[in-house]
Amino acid sequence: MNKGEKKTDLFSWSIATLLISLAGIMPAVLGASSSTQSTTGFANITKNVAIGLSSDLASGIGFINLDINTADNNATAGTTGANGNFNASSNTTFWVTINDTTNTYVDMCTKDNQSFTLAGSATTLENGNFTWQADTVGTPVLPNVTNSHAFATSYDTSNLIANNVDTGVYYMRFWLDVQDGQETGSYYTQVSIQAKENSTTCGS
Amino acid sequence: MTSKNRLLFSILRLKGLVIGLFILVLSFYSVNSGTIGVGLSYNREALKIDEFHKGCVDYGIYNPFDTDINATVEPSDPLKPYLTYKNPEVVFPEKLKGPIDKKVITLCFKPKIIRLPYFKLGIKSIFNEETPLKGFFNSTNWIFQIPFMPTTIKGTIVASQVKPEGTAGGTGATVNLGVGAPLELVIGRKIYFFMFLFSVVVIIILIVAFFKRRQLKLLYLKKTGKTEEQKREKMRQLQEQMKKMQEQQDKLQQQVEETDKKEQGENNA
Repeated sequence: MNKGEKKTDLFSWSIATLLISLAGIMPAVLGASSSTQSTTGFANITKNVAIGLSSDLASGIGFINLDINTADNNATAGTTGANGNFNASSNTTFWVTINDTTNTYVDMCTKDNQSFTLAGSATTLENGNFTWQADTVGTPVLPNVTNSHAFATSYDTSNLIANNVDTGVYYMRFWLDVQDGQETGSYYTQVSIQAKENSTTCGS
Repeated sequence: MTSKNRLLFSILRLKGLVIGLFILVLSFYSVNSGTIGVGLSYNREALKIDEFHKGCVDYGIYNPFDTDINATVEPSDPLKPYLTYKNPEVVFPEKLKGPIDKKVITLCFKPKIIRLPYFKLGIKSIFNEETPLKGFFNSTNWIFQIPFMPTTIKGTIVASQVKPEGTAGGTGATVNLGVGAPLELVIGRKIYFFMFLFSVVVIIILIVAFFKRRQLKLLYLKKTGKTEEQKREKMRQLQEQMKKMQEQQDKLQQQVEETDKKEQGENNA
């Protein structure tokens, strides 16, 4: 290729680049000068989710005066409840309710933040000993210890308190096993209950 | 049935109705009174932000239950590093009110795609927040991504009751309630970054092509054992030889012509 041919080639490329650039700009330029009238469509979709705890459940899950080497000790309302968490009809007073303002289907899950831990110490009562069960039946409302689920430190997405619901009251019970040789004292943990739109996973 | 019996029957029926109503009211009251909870109202599940830009989402907190609470919203761990402030606002939503009477909390996010250690050190030193060296290489603060592809970070925004810590008495667990809304941060990259990247790539290709061409040329000459200069010299020599040969040929031609003329003259004489 001689010098003359090279120059022609370069010129051709420059013209091509310029045309391509103009092609990109043209629609915007033409659009600005067009006389099309338009209006804006607007849609705002809002989701609401509201859940509440019974005052007994909100006051805490307590286990009072437990003996060593005992299984399935029933929880009391808070740490001062004397008669367990049962009302006059022997039904549990631990429940979670979905408020009727909820307009989307939700899953409800639970977890704890750590194993029961002795105050001011590293001694624990392992999570396998702390179990829960929820009853989706309205009444009678006594979830059974059989097939109860052990707590874990991440949301249990296999065993849900409620699955794909937008209404209802869900009754709960909690149990604690105390192994032989467990150190005496008061143990603590923190239980979380979360409701989340069922298309997504709890806690994710 | 006598009128006395009829009256007794009516009283008993009324009594049954009253007891039934009482049980109904009691059961309703037992579920709807003394309930502590929170409601979350949201209308965004994804937020697109350009890198180094701020984007915000509004969340409405309401309390349809009969107990007063303080509440807040908090992002889950994957979203936390991009929140522009550490402690979201705490609100007091009026009890027994629906989503219309919600209190709005705005959460803002600002993603920094590649946070350089010295940059982080600078910020932390200025505000004296933490030990500068702590968490420098914490992977949650870094995003490595393929150019042109937006990065998506999925998480949950949780509305919960704010309550005092701790329990009193024997062994037990405090119970926290949360209502979660999904949120995806879609982080886009600015066009000038791509232009810069594209320019860098083109320059690299040109440099590589230039050196490659020279290398190939050198390799060819090495193979043939000749340099360009040597070739030119050889050509010049050949041209000179050809010129000399031409001159000799001309000379010989001239001699032949002269000899022919001489012979012709002698013959004529």
